[in-house]
Amino acid sequence: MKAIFDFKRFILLLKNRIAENKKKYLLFLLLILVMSVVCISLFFLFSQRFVQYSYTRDALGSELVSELNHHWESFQESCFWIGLVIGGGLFAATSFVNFSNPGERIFYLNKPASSFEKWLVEFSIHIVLYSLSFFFIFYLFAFSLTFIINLINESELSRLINGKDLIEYSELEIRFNPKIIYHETFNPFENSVEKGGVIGSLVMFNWVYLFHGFIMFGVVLFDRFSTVKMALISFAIFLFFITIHPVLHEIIIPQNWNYRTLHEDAERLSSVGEDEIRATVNLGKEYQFRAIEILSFLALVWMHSCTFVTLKNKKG
Amino acid sequence: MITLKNFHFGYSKKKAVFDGLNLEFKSGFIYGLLGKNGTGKSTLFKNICGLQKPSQGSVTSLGFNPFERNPEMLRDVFLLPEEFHVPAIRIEEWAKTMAPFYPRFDHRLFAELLGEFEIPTDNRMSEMSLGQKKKCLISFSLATNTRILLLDEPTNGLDILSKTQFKQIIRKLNVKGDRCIIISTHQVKDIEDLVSRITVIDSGKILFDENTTTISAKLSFSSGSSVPESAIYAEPSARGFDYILPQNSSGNHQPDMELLYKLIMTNPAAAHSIFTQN
Repeated sequence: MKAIFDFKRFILLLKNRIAENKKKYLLFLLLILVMSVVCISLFFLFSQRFVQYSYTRDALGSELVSELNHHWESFQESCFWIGLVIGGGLFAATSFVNFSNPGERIFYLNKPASSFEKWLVEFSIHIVLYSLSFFFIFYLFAFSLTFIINLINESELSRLINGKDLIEYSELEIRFNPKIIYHETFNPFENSVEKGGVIGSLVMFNWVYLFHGFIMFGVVLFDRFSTVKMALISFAIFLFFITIHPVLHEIIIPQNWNYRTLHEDAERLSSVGEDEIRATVNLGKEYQFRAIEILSFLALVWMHSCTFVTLKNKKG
Repeated sequence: MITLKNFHFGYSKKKAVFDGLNLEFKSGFIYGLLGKNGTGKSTLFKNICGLQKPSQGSVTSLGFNPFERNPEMLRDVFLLPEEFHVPAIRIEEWAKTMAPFYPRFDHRLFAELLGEFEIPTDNRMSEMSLGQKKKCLISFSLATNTRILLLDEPTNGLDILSKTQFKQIIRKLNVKGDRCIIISTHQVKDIEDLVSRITVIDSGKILFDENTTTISAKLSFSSGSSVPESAIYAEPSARGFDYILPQNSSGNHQPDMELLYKLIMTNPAAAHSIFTQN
């Protein structure tokens, strides 16, 4: 067992990898910070027009504020997923070492740690630590900016109300439904029921880490231009799945649960009640979601196992 | 310590680098692994430390199958490759995180060797000159005190003074019973007086494998204005001729590596017959 995993050795390797690459990791953190500032600045440049626009309107003022709220929340959501997927993907592409450099490859493979420990260290840094750092930076900006925006919004609205710029019903709407002027910080686990709730969010994270695992696998598999090669392979896989989708659909989902077939059946079987058909269709959709969830989880485990096995058999 | 049995290896199926090699490296020796460029010295090292896998036959290092890269084996084997990479951190910082992997690492020796090589310890390793980087890695590799130490062309990239320093350091090393150092080179002069056993490989085969004491007992190396009849190898030099004479002859018994290497490469049968005679 000690030949596969030893906690002391794992910590030694983790410290060694962080010490050797701290400049790269710090640069990446700086890049996330710069990108966050750029995106936020662009957003406020864009949203400033909305605030100005709302001054010129009276009756529609509350609707515009509400729209602005919607923009801030969807902006946060976009930033969160783009930062996690693209930023994390780029960071995953720098995992392990530059295997095209013989010296780097030899020193790395000959470090006295097991292949499992080497994989686990890269996973811990490039997936776990990246995610934690990203969440920290994201929520640092999201919480503080949401708080500031809410303060500004509140004062702007009270100015509009006091100045009688809004007509009566809007004023009432704001007083009785104060939520429309308050922004909320994006919560990836607060998913709508249509999107699968908390399970849906977990599946989303699963896909993200599957993508990162795919990139890490490419780094170990190919010595040169791994990111370009993995992008080409991703495109080929995408084309393949699009082509075989109907076939795959039939394999995963039994004929009786086929959504399209059920719709056709519903048209034909007019004698069956509408609620009953809807319930059957929803059950079919549920079945399909569950199958995809299980498959995505299995794919995640399989992808990281492939990385570990490839690393174990990597030659220097 | 290291055993190769019926060892076959090739980077492609069509061209074999080694074809049924049987060789053993024993503890307590400093080996000089000699051979022309591209004869497979680095490949042999890679197979010994588990970076490559034999296509047929077996390699055993410290009782382990090297390609499994068991951490227990890796902590007792250090390969200093010809092409190397250094991280962009200070030596002390790097050594602090690397040394704990090697249980017998000697921090005092490391500091001593860096001092002898005059390496500034507060510089980032990546900002050093090629020679300084190499000297830094040589110091580290010697300080690991691993039971198997593989130095692949260690003197490449070193200036004349550094080569002398390297020789002095290796000479001072007390290679104990459980250690084995293998130095590969095609610049035979660089390891003269250092090694206790010479192994010459060519075209994936062992041409010569003898202790320096046996060589000294069987051959003498001399020079003069003419070549004696009994010389088994001779070549013109500034002194007239340099030549090798069989045992019981007068002359220098300290092996002249370059001359010996030339004899082995040009007339392996003659060299072989001398060493198989009782």
